[in-house]
Amino acid sequence: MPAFLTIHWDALGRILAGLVLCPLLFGVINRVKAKFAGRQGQPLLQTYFDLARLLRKGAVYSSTTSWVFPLGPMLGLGCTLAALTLAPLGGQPGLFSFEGDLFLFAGLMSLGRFATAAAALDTGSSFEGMGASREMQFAVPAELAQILGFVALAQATGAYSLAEMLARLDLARWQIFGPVLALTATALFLVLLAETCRIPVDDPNTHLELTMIHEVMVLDHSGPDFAFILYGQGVKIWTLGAILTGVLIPARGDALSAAALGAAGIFGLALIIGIAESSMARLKLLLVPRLLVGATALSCLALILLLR
Amino acid sequence: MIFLAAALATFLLGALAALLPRSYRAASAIGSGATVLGCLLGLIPAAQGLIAPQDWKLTLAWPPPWGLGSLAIDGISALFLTPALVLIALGAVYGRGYLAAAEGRKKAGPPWFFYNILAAAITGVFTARDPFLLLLSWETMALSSYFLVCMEDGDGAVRRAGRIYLVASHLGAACLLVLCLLPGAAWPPGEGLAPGLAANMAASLASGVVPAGVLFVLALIGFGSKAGLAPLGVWLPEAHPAAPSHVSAVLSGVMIKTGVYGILRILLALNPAPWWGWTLVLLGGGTAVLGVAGALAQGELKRLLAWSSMENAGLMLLGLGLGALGRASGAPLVAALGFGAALVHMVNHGVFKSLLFFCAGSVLHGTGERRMDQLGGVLGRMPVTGATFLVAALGICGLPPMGGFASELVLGLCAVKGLLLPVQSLDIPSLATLGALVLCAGMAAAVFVGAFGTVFLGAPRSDAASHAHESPPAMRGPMIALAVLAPLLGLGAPLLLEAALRALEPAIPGAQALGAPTVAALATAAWVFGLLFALLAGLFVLRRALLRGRDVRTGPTWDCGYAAPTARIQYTYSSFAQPLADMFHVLTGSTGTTTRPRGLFPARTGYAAETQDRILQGFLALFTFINAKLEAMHRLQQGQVHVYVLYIAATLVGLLAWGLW
Repeated sequence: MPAFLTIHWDALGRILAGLVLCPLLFGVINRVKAKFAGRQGQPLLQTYFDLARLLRKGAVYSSTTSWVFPLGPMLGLGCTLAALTLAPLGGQPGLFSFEGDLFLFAGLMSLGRFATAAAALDTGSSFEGMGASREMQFAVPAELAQILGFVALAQATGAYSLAEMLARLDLARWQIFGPVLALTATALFLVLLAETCRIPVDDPNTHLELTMIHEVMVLDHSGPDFAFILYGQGVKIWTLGAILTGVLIPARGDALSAAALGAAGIFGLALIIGIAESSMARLKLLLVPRLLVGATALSCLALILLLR
Repeated sequence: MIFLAAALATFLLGALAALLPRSYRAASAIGSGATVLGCLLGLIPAAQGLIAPQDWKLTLAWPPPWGLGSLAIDGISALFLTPALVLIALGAVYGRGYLAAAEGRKKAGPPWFFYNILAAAITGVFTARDPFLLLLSWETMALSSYFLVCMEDGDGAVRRAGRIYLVASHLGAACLLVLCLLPGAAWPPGEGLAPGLAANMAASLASGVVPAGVLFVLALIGFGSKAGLAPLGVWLPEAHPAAPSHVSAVLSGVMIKTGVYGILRILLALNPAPWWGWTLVLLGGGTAVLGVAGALAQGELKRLLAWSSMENAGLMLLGLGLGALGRASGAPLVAALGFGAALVHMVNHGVFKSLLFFCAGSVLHGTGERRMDQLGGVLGRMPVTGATFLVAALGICGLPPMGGFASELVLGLCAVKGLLLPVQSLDIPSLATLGALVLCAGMAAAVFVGAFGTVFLGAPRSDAASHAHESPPAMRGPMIALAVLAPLLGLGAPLLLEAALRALEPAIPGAQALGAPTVAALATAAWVFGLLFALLAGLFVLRRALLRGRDVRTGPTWDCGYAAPTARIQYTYSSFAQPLADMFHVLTGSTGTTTRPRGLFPARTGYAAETQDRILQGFLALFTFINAKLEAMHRLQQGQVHVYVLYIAATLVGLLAWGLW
């Protein structure tokens, strides 16, 4: 049996923690936003209730749709779950780790996006077509920023896999490569905002179809399909957050405390997202590509600083 | 090798036999049957060469002048020949169904004659071991494919495309002619020398007649024009869509690779200089980005696929460029992975692009409509075509779990390793490769989700789309076969990379050992693919269980309460691609005219996009310019013999005077 097939119980535990805790991230973000707005806010566990409610419901399908439509949410969630198994938490490796897994990570995100966009086009709605078009457009610079950012990490640490890179990041490396890592982290944070459709790229609470990006793509999904999408969003924030936290919090202890620290870091990130969403409006749609190209430029700059 | 000889004989005899019968069906049965039989025969030695390197050589009893007249299958030949023969055979099966519609309108003999000749010529190009035979096969390939492209010669646009193709392919062949007829020429260069000397070919050439750099430039122009290298590949987006779909599939899936093959041979046989690699990386990256940007701006499915072929040829050249740089700067790791990535991508792209052209042909067959924006909702009426198109689209975008992801991973890893190695000359090319690769992957995803969504999903936009019908089994069979192969190429990617590295081992000693970690990485990735399939199956079962017995209804699509939606208000491919195409309008050359709404009661408003191939226009302008400038030379060409005799006498007198001076 190959070495990677031995069951890593601790990695499974970290993945399980992510699966259970990720809907709570929405609760934290919404609570922060509510506090800023001087409101009481919805319960912290609201997303769990929403998911339970959606899973108990039936579904309505558009008569225009085909089998591609229900495939979208399933493949979308499947891809984010598979990406979660690659993501290290608190410097501890995920379930799978191999050289070049950063490409698979980005590829899985891309496949999920492809499936969601195809499902949106399947409804024949011009709103959803618009959303899909925007999503695919923004993904081009976002993916570039993400992969170049990962490669900058690879170059700063001399490792080829995500787990190895984050495990080798420590305070000493931050002292040498501080500016580079800060640039990379900023780029990855912008990518996280774009990928998880948060302000300033996209507004998850908007009510006008014309201005939506991700929300408009999933307008026609209902019941369990929509639960998959909502949960997939949570897993995505968790996964991307885990990697970003791994860059930002280089302190290491034993496996358990490192993972706990990583998880705490993700909730800290949710806090920052909440503050960002409360303190700024979303960007004009035409400016979003510039923001993401800016993120790509930051990653590129980090890489160029590393060239000697 | 007897099988290879038998395969070639089958192709040639089949070509002649297809011309004999008077009945359309008999001719197409003989023609396609001969191709399939020949391919099966040829696959035996090719597959053996793939599994373990063989040292076969077939030498003709009567060698042609200036040549040895020998054919051989080594690892590289086997790697190119195996997918080529599979695709040509499937193309023949598909083509029989595809051309059935032309019964009574056209003769079946000529298309099958040329198809068999093309199959023999491609086999010849991949196995030729002397320059004359290579040139002969190359020229035969160019001519037979020209006649296949021009099959619908009643259409002026097709004739124009054919003419462009003929001119472009002969400009390239002119360079190959020089390359192959140079004194001391050999194919591949260095062949026939003792093994130790082969590596020093560059030195011996420099002391002899021609510097190696000249050989490289000649090969780059000659082979590069066939591979679709920008700016020489202008013919590609014209000729590939004009051909019948099974021929398009062979042109895009197989013939582009003959160019890649030629450049690879040169890079492996000679000692590349760093500037070779730089040139290949620059041109390859440019071709890739230009190709995918061009695909964004197309309105017809087959043209879009042709532009995407250019993109993929660019990616293969990027791999070759990194490999050449790796060889030049003494980094065999980068060389092995770069060439390996190009080889793996060559196989993957062949499978996916052929499948996409089969699907496009099937859509054309079932609807009679080429323009994507007139289609829509075809998936319901053409389920096999739609599902196989989706599989191929995922593959061509380099998405897991299809084979395309493997080639992206290997090329990306090669670039990352080049960046991390302490070899400074590799830094910038690696970074450029990485940038171009990721940019192309993102844009290709946008292109293909847009194309799939517009053609197959949503509501039909025209009568042609709503009356679509699925293709006959002869066309569906090859499509299903290739669609099954797509995820298998993803799961079997480690084996494919291993075969590629094994083929490279003679030229790059230690390639297999250097590539072993990447092979292991691909194997682990295959487990993640397995997990993805398991997750998908689990979610499918979960969803089905949840919805059982519940209230599942169908209704209209949410349309914001708009009372009278029509299929025409759906997003089209042009509107889908417009934001991205706008970002790259410098490359695509598309110009849009918008009529904005004005006043309180706006009249008709609209947006019309127009795309012109700037490079092609540039070439046409160049040729017109040359033609105009050379107009004066016409005065010399009198057409009267005595004047010509005068020229000869004057030249002789001139030379005599010069000699006596």
